[in-house]
Amino acid sequence: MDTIFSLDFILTVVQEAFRVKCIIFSALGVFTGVTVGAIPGIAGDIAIALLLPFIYNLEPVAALGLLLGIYKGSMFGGAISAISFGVPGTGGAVATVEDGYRAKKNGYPKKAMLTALYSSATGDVISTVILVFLALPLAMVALKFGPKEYFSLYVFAILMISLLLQGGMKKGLVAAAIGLLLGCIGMDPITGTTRLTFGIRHLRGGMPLIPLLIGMFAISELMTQYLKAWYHNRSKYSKESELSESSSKLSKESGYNPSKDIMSFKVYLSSLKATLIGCVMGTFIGALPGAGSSLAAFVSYGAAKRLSSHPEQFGKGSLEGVAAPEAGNSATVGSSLIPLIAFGIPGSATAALIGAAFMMMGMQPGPLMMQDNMPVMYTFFVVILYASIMNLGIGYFLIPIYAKISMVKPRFIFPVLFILAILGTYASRNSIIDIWLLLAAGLLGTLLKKAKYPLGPLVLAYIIGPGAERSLRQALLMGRGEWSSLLKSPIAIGFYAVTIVTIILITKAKSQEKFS
Amino acid sequence: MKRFFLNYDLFLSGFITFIGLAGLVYFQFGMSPGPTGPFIFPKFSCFIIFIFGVLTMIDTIGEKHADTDPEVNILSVVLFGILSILYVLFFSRIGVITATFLFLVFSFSILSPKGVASLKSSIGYSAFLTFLLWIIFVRIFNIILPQCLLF
Amino acid sequence: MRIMRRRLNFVMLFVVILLLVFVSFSSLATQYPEEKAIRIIGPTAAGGANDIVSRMVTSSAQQIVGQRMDTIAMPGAGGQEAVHYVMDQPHDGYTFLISDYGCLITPALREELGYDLSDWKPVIQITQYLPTIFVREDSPIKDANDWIAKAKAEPNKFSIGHGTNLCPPHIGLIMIERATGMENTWVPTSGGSECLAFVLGGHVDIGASMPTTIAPSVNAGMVRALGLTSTERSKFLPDTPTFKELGYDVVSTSWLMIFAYKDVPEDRIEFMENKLIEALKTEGAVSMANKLNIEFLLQGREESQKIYNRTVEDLTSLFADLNMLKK
Repeated sequence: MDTIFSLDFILTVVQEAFRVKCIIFSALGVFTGVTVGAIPGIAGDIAIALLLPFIYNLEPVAALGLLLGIYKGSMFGGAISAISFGVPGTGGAVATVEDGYRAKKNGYPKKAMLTALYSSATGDVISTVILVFLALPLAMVALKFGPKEYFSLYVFAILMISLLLQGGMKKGLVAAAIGLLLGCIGMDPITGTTRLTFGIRHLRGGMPLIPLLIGMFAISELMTQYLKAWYHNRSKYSKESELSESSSKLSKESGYNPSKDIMSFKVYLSSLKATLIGCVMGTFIGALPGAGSSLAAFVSYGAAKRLSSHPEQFGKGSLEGVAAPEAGNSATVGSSLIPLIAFGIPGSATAALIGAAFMMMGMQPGPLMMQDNMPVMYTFFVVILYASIMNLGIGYFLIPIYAKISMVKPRFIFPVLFILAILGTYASRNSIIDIWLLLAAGLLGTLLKKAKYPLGPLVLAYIIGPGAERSLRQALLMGRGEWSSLLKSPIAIGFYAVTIVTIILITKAKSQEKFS
Repeated sequence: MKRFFLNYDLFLSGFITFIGLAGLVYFQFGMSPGPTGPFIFPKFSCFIIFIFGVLTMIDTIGEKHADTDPEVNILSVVLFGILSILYVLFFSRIGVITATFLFLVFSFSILSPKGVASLKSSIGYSAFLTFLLWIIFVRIFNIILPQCLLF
Repeated sequence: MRIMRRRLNFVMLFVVILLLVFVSFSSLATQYPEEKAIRIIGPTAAGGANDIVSRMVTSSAQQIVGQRMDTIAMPGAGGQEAVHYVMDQPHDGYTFLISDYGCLITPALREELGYDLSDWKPVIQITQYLPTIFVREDSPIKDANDWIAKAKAEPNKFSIGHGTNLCPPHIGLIMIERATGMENTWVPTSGGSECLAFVLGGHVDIGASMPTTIAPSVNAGMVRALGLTSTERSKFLPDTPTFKELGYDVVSTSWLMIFAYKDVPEDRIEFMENKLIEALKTEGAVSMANKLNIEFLLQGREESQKIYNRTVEDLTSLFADLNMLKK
């Protein structure tokens, strides 16, 4: 303890952390992460995996700054395409599409992106501070989560999101059930029995996430929006339509008013409550190994809607609906490193890659990591903190560029987005079959969207369904097949109680809405 | 019957309900040794789909179906769909770069108000964008994409 | 105006040709005169233990082999995507598979997957993984003998977390139970990390994983390793006995090998064997492996083939006894 607070130690740490090389590599990492995250299909972990062999030649802190910068940047980067095109760039940005894309259509894309940026940075900083000061206590809490507790959390998340999103409760539950069924495709997590593959070898490992995500959101959105928009221009070519097409900015005729799309501190404050809810949810859920940024984003969204003074605005372009999931998913960055550093257990797939990087640097993640590598670890913490600030700066610089790109003529952006979706999907697993699945998911997404089935619960249920099934069956195995064993945990009982209360309150609120 | 098919919402709900029922029947004949067996979750999912599918159908039958959706250029949709399928089919045969270039050229033309008359400008934009995508994916991210003889 | 437009068209055409030529020459520039890039295909996700090892191999071996070497992760279809990709490529020695038995042998014994196990020829063995049984430090189980005695006295008293179904630690666990006659409740998990988390959290009584996963926790005094199912102790857990030392005839290890598919020319396989072993013996490669807690146990083609054949026989026999073989 004395060593940490001695002046010499602090000076050494600060000196190492603020070396030019460190700063440059961290900035490069953030820039790469934001760019990569904005490309549908390519998540930060692909960029990290590709860069891993090159970090041998870098000093440990510079290398880790680079990789962590990518991780942080990609969390915000996913929001850029979510807001601009309705296509989540990463799994964590799926919840952002609900209100973010609507905000852009309502005429304030820049405000939405800046809200996403500021709340992302807030979530990032808060979870990093918690990582530095409260890693071990939070890790001990995370260890208390076993199969029973995970299952109760998943039930809470799926039900809450299905009931809260636009489209009605029944359609939400149907969508969630479809997502659960899609998640059952492939090898059963407990016995390895293949299910619903119909003899197709490629489906043995399950329906892959990237094609489903990109297909459901990107392809379906592109199909429904842009091709409709060009009906009138195609049917009657005229000088007027060419002029309106050639305008690369949303004109006043289309309702865009730049003066209404200005971000201010007041606007940030109005969504601060949602941001803080996202920070708390994201930090906690990120510390649970395997829970994931998508779950954090959705739970944050649901909780923010529940606690908002204007819940009716959610789903219609509410900035709170952007702030909460973005804070939630970015807050998982710092907290997913907590179990890694405390026990050597990575909190996410990306954290596992960071863990591999630690090992390549000669630092073994685990209980002795802090003790054996104190100067490097505290330097690393300082780098993480200023990388969060860099994320803010670089994001602020990139937003006007991406905002302009989002306003490029649809007939140019649509095919390019389509190509990006396909190449991004191919890049994730080098599989042509994935691309066919992408198109099939796009068709499914289009059909469901037309009938107003919400896609959020479907994707969330698909993502957490396998984990929920595994937890349920693990809990039943440990309880010797007794269903009552699921209630033998105070944490699980707590989640079930909150779930029941939430269902009652939501149902009541919706009935009152109907009558009024 | 005609009303059933014309009412898209009702038709889709009915189809989804049918899938739920089919799943329940299918998994009824699967091995499911107790609550920890591999078919409990699929069965549960199909059950929810069926029950709430029926409830959704009931809701939809009562609603008046008003076609408020804007018209869609069916020809564009079909052409673009064919182009997409051809792109994926030839992706690995003629190389990603060539396939992407050709796809973009024809997509821009299909979606342009001028139609085929815009082929020339489409070629220029397509070449530039293809080059950019090649730089990003092959050069920067070092992702190995299917190649043809030249690229 | 027309002249201007014509000029613009020519300029655009010229730019297009220039870009195409640049791209094609750049591509040509990446191809060596006589050979093309060698690819090692992995059936596990990017960033996993096997993927990291594979990337380490390709980055060490590039300079020695004298050609570009790439690692490609293809985790689809439970690893079968990678296996079939290698099968479908020309058998010219430019595409290899890196795998343990979990992705290659186990699935093929349980269902028809379109290949025979004899079609795969090991090039080299890189390392071996040693399944290890462990408990939380404060567990009432004192040691392996204590566990066996208590479990035999009360079947299914203890719950054991392991990785995915029929992964190497799970196979090791099955063999221990068959050799000792005890019964425990198996709790499959998503992998070594989840297994360790469940043991540390007290959700399961015992865990089965690999030394690389649990070594940091053992060194920190949070878990105790009871025994390994290998013939020799692990250098990362020097104080942990093997079950063989304890008097139980249990040997179950997994390996990581690089494979060529049938019909790959023998001289090409021999070339790769020599170059890869040379590359992995360099100081740089050894130092990288130490940082990753990997102990190289390099074996050439012949010895690797014997190990591979033995594994196939052992697993076939085990699955036959458990009635798990494909019909």
